[in-house]
Amino acid sequence: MKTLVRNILAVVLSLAVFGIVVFDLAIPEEPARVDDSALLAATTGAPNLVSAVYLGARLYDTLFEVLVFTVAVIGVRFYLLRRSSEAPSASIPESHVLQASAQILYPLILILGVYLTCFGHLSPGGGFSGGVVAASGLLLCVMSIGADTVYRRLSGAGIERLEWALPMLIVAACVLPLAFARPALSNLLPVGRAGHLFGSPSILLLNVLIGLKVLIGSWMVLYAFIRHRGEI
Amino acid sequence: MDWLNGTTIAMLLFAIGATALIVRKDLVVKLLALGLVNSSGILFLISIRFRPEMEAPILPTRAGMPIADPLPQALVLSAIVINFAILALSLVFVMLLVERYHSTDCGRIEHAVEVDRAAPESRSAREDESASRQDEEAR
Amino acid sequence: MIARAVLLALLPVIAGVSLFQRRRLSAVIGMGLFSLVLAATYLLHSAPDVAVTEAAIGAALVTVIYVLAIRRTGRLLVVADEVPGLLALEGGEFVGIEVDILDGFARRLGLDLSIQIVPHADVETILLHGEADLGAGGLSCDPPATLHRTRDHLPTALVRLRPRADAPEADARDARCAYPGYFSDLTEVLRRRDPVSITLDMARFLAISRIDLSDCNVDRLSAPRTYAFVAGPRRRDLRDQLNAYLDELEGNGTLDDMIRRHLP
Repeated sequence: MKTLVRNILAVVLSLAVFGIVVFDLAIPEEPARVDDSALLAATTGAPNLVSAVYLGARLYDTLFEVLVFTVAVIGVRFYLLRRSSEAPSASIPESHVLQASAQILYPLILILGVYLTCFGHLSPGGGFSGGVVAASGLLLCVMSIGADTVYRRLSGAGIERLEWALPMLIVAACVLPLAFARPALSNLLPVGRAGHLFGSPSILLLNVLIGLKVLIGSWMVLYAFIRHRGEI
Repeated sequence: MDWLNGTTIAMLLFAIGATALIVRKDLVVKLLALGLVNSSGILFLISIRFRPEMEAPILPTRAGMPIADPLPQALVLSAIVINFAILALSLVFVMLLVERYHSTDCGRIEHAVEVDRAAPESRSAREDESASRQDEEAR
Repeated sequence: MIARAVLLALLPVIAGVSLFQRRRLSAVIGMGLFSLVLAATYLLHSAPDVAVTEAAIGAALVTVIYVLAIRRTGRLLVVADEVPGLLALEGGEFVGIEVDILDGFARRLGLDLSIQIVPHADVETILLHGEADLGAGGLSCDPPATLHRTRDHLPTALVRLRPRADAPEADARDARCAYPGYFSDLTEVLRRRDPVSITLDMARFLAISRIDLSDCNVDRLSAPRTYAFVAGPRRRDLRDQLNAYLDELEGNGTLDDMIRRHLP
């Protein structure tokens, strides 16, 4: 019974959200014109015009790209982690040089990923590149600690639930402006000083959400490939 | 060297990728060539309206300099990440194929698939037989 | 301007060379290098966002995923312990009877042969976990029921060695048929005259016979044994193919040539 209720709720919710977005994809009174760069930066508050375009003017496309990414990650996990294999097996050991240097390097690369994500609206970067760089940092972490340890710690912290929640949060961030009587897919939070870190908080929020999504998705894909040993 | 700009090189890369996709028989190399075709498309989109004096599209720029067009860059940015995800998924399928037919050569796999399709009853009978024999030995 | 032209001219060269390589691994690494040069090209075309993303994805994640995927495909992975005469590492190359057999077999199947030296006791564990395709290295005992044993290619016998007289008399039904660690540690154990009882097959025994063993108890066990390969649990087809190949080698006399060449 609970499954049925949950399924019905999921269908209704998705239909509602996408119905709102599709039918109320209202043209805002001042559409963000992409060819006038000063106006674009002022409207969204992001000096990085590329971020302003794909998180401000063209947010609809980014929404569906996040969806495609999610579906691809689900596909990879389904096919590779379907039969969970038994206890970790005796594998070829890594060289000590690699292990020691990975232990030093991985926090730096994780911090670089966080920086690229959070400052993506001021300098080159953004959610996509920040998430991918942080995933490579996690890969180095795997080289120093071991894949199963990293997976256990991350799953214990609830990263899989976060992965389910994130697409809903991104869609909510796109749809919530409706509650403030603004058209959907526009700025959720008001624009502040241009050029400041919190100068365009809605773009910052979207960058962080997308960065987290790409990080967790890439980590799942990498872990599935690492874990897949031997014949299926 | 007027012809040595991004668009012509992108077309050349597309040709190389398409040739490798058709000529090489190994499935993994075919996927690599497909990734090359993707990258050539992205290079083409980025370098279409490029002029050497353009600046990067981050706003505090020098006055009077034209700015590179941010729109194709934005479209291409997420395309790169999507390509990665789709590539991972297709690699999964290649791995499944390889583990079923024990070869990455596409000629061999096609031959094995045709053999399976020609005699599906005998293949399933053989599988059942070998599975029951393995169960017996394990016991 | 010059840098941009140079990088653009370099791109098709790298792509062309790396996609038409013979080995898969070379192609993958070549394409990783191509992604890096492409990222630099994007940077010089005033697209820094795209450059960062392409560098992180193309050079790091895509290369890692490919290397993880082609780790097992197209290779015949053999785990073995060293046995001089059958499978030994000399000057960086593997030589021996079993190496010749496996090399010809891999070439027949169209795969790359890859041999890994592991302790003798780990061979069965690794095969059971499905990490490798074949086990080799002077295996003379019966493996567990789920592994598949090929036909024999060389007869042998078992010798029990007790370096010190007060070592425990081992059980006659001792299932171990060789020293469980690495073969190269065996000479150390004997030189130190550890109080253990070691069972060895003939090839290993002949290889260590240059050590003075006059004060050790050496018993020859009576049951005749043979060397064979072992295949993993779901690779019955591999075992059948290897059996057919061994039959063919014995039929045209190549097997005897190999034995005469490596074991005088």
